[in-house]
Amino acid sequence: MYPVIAVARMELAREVRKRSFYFLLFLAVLPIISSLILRYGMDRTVSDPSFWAVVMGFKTTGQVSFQEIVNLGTFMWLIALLYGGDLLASDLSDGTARLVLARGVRRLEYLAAKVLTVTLVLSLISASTGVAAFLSNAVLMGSMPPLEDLPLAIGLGALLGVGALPLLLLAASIGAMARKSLHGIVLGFVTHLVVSTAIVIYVGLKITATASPEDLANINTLLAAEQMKAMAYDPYQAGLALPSLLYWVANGGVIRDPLLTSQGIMLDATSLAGTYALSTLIGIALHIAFTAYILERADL
Amino acid sequence: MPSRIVVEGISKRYKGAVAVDGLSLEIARGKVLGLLGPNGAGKTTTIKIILGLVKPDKGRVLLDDKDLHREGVRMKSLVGYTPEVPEGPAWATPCRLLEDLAVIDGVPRAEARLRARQALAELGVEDLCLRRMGKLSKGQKKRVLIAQALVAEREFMLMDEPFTGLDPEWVARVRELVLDLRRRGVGVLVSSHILRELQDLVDEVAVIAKGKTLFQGTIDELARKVAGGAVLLVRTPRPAEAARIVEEMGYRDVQVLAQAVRVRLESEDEAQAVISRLMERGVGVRGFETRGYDLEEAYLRLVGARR
Repeated sequence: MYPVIAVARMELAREVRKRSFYFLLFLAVLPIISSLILRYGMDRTVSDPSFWAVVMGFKTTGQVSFQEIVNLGTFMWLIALLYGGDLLASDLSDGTARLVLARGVRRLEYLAAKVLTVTLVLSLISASTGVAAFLSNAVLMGSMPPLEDLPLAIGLGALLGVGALPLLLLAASIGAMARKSLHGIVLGFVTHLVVSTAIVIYVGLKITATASPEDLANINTLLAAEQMKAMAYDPYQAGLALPSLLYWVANGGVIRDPLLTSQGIMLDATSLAGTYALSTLIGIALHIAFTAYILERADL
Repeated sequence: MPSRIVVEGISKRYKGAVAVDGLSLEIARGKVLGLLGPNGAGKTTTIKIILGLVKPDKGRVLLDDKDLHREGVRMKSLVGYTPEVPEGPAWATPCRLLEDLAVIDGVPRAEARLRARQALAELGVEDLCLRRMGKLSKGQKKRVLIAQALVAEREFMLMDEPFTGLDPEWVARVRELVLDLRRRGVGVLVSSHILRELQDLVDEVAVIAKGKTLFQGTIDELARKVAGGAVLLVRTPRPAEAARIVEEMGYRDVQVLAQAVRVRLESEDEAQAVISRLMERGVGVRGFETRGYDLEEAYLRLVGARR
């Protein structure tokens, strides 16, 4: 067996023993739980055939509902930080990396094995959540989604795991530098927050400088639309929002956000998805390069 | 099969502080080399540089004539390593950890399981096989981490302070293990800061301090170089005056004690002349004794831990 596969297997065993894995599993069964709550408790009238997409966070209903708040997409950034912060930090601090790398496994191979494994775990779980959401939509909610939505639920679910990578790798590189998971999680979150805030400030300044008085009447809608465009510059958010855009692409190419459509604003989801995908890929490549650099320079 | 590891002039600085400074040594198969030095001498850094865990600023490590750091898993797994600090992933069980590490070493999975159990049994921790590492005591972890180096065939073994944290029974059994590895033709490097731990165990010793090799050779050669001669202890009420007189006689290694003076002699035969001179000068010699020079003391002097 190739050493890389052996390292990946070791990583898989580690991942499934983490507390955050149980949190992820909980999210995977959440569609079933929330369907039961909605059906027998809070709202007996819900019978949307694309309810599964709401559960995954790909679609909004324009209402502040239980499902709007509790969906996989909402929590993915937290999962990315939890998994990323610990990806290298604990191995470096508890000596596991020493035991593995002393056996001649190259550092880049070691990083690749770990990143691929964690991506696989996140993608598998979020794809499973997609399937669970689809099935609970059909069985528990009593409204059968179109069958062509099933590969969409699986594929976009899996893509959510990949889209989390820029943020995950950011937390991983900070955790590796500090050799402490908590540092990776907290500083990763702070960086994510700073970049998101910078985007909001950029949008605010742009609208202030360019918007006409008529535009200002629809300020909320304008902000939402500009915000979506500007998010392409933020790989952490772009990666997490990419599956939503692709869901919209699959459903006609126009963003059907109630807030936007009510104001007559149409955004081209296809071109936005393209820029988000590019931003995510660049984000992943840069963060892998940076993490590899940190690991390559680390004295063990 | 490679016959030796050659470390050539390695240097490493950490934020300006010298950890290893132009250090060279050689580990031959079928021999035990003791890497001896006080805390902070650069022993662990040297071992980590050999393994490629720390990158040297200068120098290289050769496996025969090939650069060890450019070799892949197949060659590097010929070199086993036991870390000094009892650590390891808290989530893993010893069986699971050793099995995975054996697979990384290139052992097929089914055989790896068997080897993991055998290695743990050799270190007397097979009953801890399914307990998590985080629940083990330091001594138990240390034995597990020695066992992990035994899961694959090794040509060389680098053991960083292998006796630290072990009880006397296991110190003796690990010594036996080292000698057994030597009998099987494995080249072993054992680091320690205590000379006594290495006496009767090593074929050669490399003494290092402040990152430099001060000596490499047999323990006997070390004794001849730094511990030859004898020590004369003269009890006197005027030790300072006695020391001055002895220094006038040309002796340089003289220590003033509370009610005595200690002099290092080339041989015990010189004692009579020193005593006679002190008595002639009337410093009040109340007694004296001579003894062979203590090797541990000599080693500590060599590395500068004692003045």
